[in-house]
Amino acid sequence: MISSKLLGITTITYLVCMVSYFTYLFFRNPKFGKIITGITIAGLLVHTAALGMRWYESYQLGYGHIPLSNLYESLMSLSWTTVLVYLIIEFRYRSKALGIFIFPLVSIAMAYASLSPNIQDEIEPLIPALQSNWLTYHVMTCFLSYSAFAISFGSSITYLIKLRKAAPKSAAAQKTGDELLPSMEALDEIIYKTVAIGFLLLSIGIITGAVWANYAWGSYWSWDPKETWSLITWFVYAAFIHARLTRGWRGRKTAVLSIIGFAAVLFTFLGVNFLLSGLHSYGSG
Amino acid sequence: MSAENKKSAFARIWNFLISIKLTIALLILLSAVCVIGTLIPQNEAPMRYLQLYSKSTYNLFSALGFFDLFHTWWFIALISLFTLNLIACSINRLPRIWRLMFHGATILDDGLLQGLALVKKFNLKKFTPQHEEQIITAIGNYLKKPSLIKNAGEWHFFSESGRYTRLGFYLTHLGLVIIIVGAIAGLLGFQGYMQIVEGQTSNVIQMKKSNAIKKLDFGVRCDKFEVSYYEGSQRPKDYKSVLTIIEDNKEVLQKTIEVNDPLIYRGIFFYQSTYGAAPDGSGSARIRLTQKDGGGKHELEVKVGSTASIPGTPFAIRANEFLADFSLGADGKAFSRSEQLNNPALNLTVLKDGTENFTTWVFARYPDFHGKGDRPFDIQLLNFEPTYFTGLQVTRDPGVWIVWLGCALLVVGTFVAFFTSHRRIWLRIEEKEGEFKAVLGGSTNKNHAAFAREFETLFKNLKS
Repeated sequence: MISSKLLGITTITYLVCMVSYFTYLFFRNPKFGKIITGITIAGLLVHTAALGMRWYESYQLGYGHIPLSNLYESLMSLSWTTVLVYLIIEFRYRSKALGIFIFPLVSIAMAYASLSPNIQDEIEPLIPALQSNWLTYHVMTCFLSYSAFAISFGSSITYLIKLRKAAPKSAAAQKTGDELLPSMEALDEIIYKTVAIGFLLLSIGIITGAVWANYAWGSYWSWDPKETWSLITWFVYAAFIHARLTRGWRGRKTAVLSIIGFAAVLFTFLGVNFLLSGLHSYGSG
Repeated sequence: MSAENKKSAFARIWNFLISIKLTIALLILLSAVCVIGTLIPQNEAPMRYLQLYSKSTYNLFSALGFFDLFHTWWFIALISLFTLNLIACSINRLPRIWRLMFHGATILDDGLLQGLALVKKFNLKKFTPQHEEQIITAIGNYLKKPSLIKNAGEWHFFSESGRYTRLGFYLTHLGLVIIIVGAIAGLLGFQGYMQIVEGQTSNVIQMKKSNAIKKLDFGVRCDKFEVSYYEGSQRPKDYKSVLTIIEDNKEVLQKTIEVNDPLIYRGIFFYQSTYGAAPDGSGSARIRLTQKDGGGKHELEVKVGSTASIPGTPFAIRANEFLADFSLGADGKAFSRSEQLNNPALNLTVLKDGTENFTTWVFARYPDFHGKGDRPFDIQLLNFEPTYFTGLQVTRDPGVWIVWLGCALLVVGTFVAFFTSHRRIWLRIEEKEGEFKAVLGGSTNKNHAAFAREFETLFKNLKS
């Protein structure tokens, strides 16, 4: 199938991106930087075409559904939203540093999805419970929020690394250190902004899920493990926001909270399906 | 207790409730409790728990309510405290927000000046009424048309936008409280299950929690149930039930429901939930008979309880009994393990000239099983179309619209709180010894970087 080949090309492109972003960290050639961004954009375009193709192919098989129906498709789509959100941040803040965190995440996710024998990569028909337009709204908003949180996580790690490096040096040494990385203030702002965007999207994702659950299962909230974990994630980021806005937490403390939040995101997305059972169990195959 | 003490007790409780530390503690506590509620399966049968945990652990968890954690009194108490905290914080902050919104300074004095992040000072050679107009236009283009207060030798311009965005987080918090109110209102509703065999009418609902029986004051008839499969596979594509509401012996509403498309009548939702073969084992079988003497094959349709003759032969076939999920009991008797079509089996008697020849079971899943003994036919069960029953989840939740209202407020409020800002611009011009000294000040409660850039542009505009 064409979509599988295109996804393979995308995975390889992102692996190239990962290596390139690391290389860029050492050489810092602006021309090279532009080339990397070009490769990333090309990768995203191929990725978009691949997902579109997979969607089209599912119609040809007589199923006709958006590629969000199982773990393989979820990982591929989540990678897509993550690269998209990453590129927006790269342009907005004119910094490529976060690429070194985002592309390993994305490449591992996509390679794992393609290569793991436990993951079905065939296009499968949709079980009746998933046959709804809410699938798109619910899953896409959730994935966009996960991506925003992933960027926040990457920024938090960068922040903590810079903090350790910066501590013993003088201010002057710090300046000559790495102008590639955004300043501490900019990182702090990215951490907060992406959490704010992610929080809003996660709220919408939980709500669209509730509306759908009410329509499909007759109850907008069932305390199913996936639901409960999304709520836990929401609580953690709510704590982040309150700590920052009302207690004035900045820098290291909020970076740590953002990392905890992302751990909750990962558990909500993957851990629940692998380790717990519940209504969302169709996501694991 | 004296009035003084009472007051201080009240003040202490109040100070406890308005603390943001309490909020963060509650968020952490609620998260921890939720984690427990996902690690321990909820609302399972005691047998299942005893497989998972030792007897003493089971007793401990049971006493703590861990098996139905989200409905325990202490979980509800936590949520209540969280709600109180939310309301108290909102009340506590209101006066300050109100002041910022409606009694903000319109005159830039030195005290205010010190607190501003963005300040620019410059001198003007001339300041005429024409300049005044220009400044009003320039600031107006940037934010909103500024107000102007003139004192002796002083001009005070003030403009602001997004004043009401300061209320964004109130909307978010109000939304949350409304969601909780909606959830409480939902307790007035019910959740249950009803099962209707094709062609029959029922009004009996079995309640989910209590297993009590509730009767609706109208009937629901299942006209037809259908299950379709994806081509060439056993994967169900769709389950559909055609339902008719019957009230006072009249058909008032008909709808084909499927998963993701319920029937709604008088605030009661009927959801397609399960299905199965009707317990009476009725239905219609399609059978293939292969004559062992080479006399050919016959295919015929026979209903359970009736007889069909095999054309061109002295034989006839009678369908005695159908089992959806065939199994043999300890006593050697056949029975159906469930209502699901897991192992469809049909008991048949072959008749020759009206007298019984032999009786056998045939299985849809095992077409090559033909029983023992010397028989004139091999018989295969090609298909069995049972009389189905449809299983409906029946729900009434009067709070659901309140919940949606709360959700809408929460989303709008969060958007406003994060992505819109209250921006203010002051411009003071003083005449001193023929010179005009100008001070431009700006403040925003969010997105400082972007505001600073725009402030710079405005400053350049005003200077020229």
